[in-house]
Amino acid sequence: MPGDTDNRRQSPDEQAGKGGKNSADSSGQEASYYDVPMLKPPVWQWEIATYFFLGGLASGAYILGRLAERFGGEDYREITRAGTAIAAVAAIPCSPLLIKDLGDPKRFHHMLRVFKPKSPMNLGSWVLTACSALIGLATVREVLDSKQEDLPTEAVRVADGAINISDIVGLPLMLLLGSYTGILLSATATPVWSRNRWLGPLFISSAMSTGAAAISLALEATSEAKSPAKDALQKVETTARVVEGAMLSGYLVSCGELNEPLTKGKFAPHLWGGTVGGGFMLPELLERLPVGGKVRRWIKIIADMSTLLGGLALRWSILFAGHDSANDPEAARQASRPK
Amino acid sequence: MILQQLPVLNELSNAFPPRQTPVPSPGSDTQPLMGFFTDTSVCIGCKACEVACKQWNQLPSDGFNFTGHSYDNTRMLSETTWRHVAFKEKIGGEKSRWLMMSDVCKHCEDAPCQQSCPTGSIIYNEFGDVYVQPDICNGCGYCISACPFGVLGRSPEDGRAHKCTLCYDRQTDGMQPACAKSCPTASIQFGPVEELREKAKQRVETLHAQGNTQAYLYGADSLDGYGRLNSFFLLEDHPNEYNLPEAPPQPLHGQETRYALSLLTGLVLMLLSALFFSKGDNYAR
Repeated sequence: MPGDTDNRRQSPDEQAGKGGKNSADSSGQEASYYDVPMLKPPVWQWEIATYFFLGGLASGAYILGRLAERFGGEDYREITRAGTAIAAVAAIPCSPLLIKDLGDPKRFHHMLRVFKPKSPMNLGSWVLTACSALIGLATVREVLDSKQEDLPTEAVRVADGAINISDIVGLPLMLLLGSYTGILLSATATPVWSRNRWLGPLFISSAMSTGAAAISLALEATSEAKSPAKDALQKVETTARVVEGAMLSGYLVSCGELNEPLTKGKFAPHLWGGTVGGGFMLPELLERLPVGGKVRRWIKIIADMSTLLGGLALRWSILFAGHDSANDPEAARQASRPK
Repeated sequence: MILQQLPVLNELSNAFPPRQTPVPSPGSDTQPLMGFFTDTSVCIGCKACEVACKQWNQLPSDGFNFTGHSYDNTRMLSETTWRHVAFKEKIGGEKSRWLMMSDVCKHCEDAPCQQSCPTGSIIYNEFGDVYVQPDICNGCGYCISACPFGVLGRSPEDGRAHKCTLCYDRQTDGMQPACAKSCPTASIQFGPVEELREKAKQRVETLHAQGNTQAYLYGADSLDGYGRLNSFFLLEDHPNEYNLPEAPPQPLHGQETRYALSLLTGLVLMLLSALFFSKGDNYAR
């Protein structure tokens, strides 16, 4: 039914004409329009929150896999194998999710009708396309590597060479894949996102922490033995998590009062419980428990899964807080005051 | 084509009746920018513009809603409402009064919706107006969030974004937009934007001379860093009273810094990770 959108529903405040706090009008009352929303809420739903998470995961896992091979050598090859597989599994649902979200899905290819880097969504479509191709190439190469004995050495060497050369453009593209989603949100008028500089850095650091957690989870699930790869991953995970925590704090502080839909609204439990509790605190705590043997392995598995859920909760809470933020006329008035 | 004869398909494609996308006329260099000047000081709140817009553009009804707070039961612009008469009852203070304003797409000179559109559906047409090409839009919804005035909406019927076209079709045939044509008090004026700006400034001077010192122009000049509006207003009170932003943010400005900071964060994390991979204990050997 036309007009049956979120913001058409009347808020109880609307009838009372509850006004803003600061800008008084000529008659001394607060300037406001019956608390009718000034902005439209985003049309993006769970598909987009999930895509933000999976795109980040694919980017982080791929980057770590490539770095492990380049800088770590043979001992770290298992990270590359797991990282490539995770990137592939995470990337497969990305495009279908984005297409499902469109109002007119059969026109999904219009996204690549022009190259318009000024629009983060257009740039992101091109980046996702290129990254999907790269992940595909890396996957083919891993498959060839695993069947080395049955194949002519040339085929394996060509694949190895191709993937090594691709890193020059591949790694920057993957960084874009993990961060453009945050920049996309910041290029909107939605008060809790608008023009925020911390969202991109927050999303890329979350991409790295979830990527590391997913690889670590895959390694723990497939082998019990301790390995240098697992130790190095642990350090990567903790570093990314610390940076992510710093970026999240910076984001929330920079929003000021506008962060309320996120810190106090319906999605506050997702942020505090899911991201801060489940994504940062629980895994760091679990990994420091003085236990060994089989229990240690299970604890690590739980910590990694918790990190992944924390990364999903981060995208989820930020996306849906945007809905509440855009529907709140007081937030819109506050965000549009002259600086 | 047999496909077009299927009634289901016909119905689907007619949810919003197909509009011919007019072809820009050659020699459009001489075509001045066209826009609206909405003078709220003479608006009587008759809503003829709302009705004319709906009728000409064949926009579906929004249903019988009753807000209970004023004579405004339309509430806001949307995908099916391209002109909306705001109706603010101001009770108390020195004197009680009504504020009325016919709101519309601002046709920004530096339009965030046009810049954010990933398909290139939103363009500036030859009249300098911001226009959503209905045959290109794929309903991604980015323009809806990018607009700092909350103008655009996505139709649940065809899944695409819709807003005021500044009657592109009428303009190409040399007619003025339906809302301006129907306005009985010349509150809505249509014409070359430069001429309208001059006219509007004179109007403010006249009003000031008559003692209405509250009158001022909204969007005729840049709004605190946000570019000018090709559809601007004469207001008599704080912009928030009309549900307009005081200094709308231009969300696509400053993106370069945001990309740089993100890539920098990513690079630092990559360097640290590379360090952990190269300095690890190779005790497995």
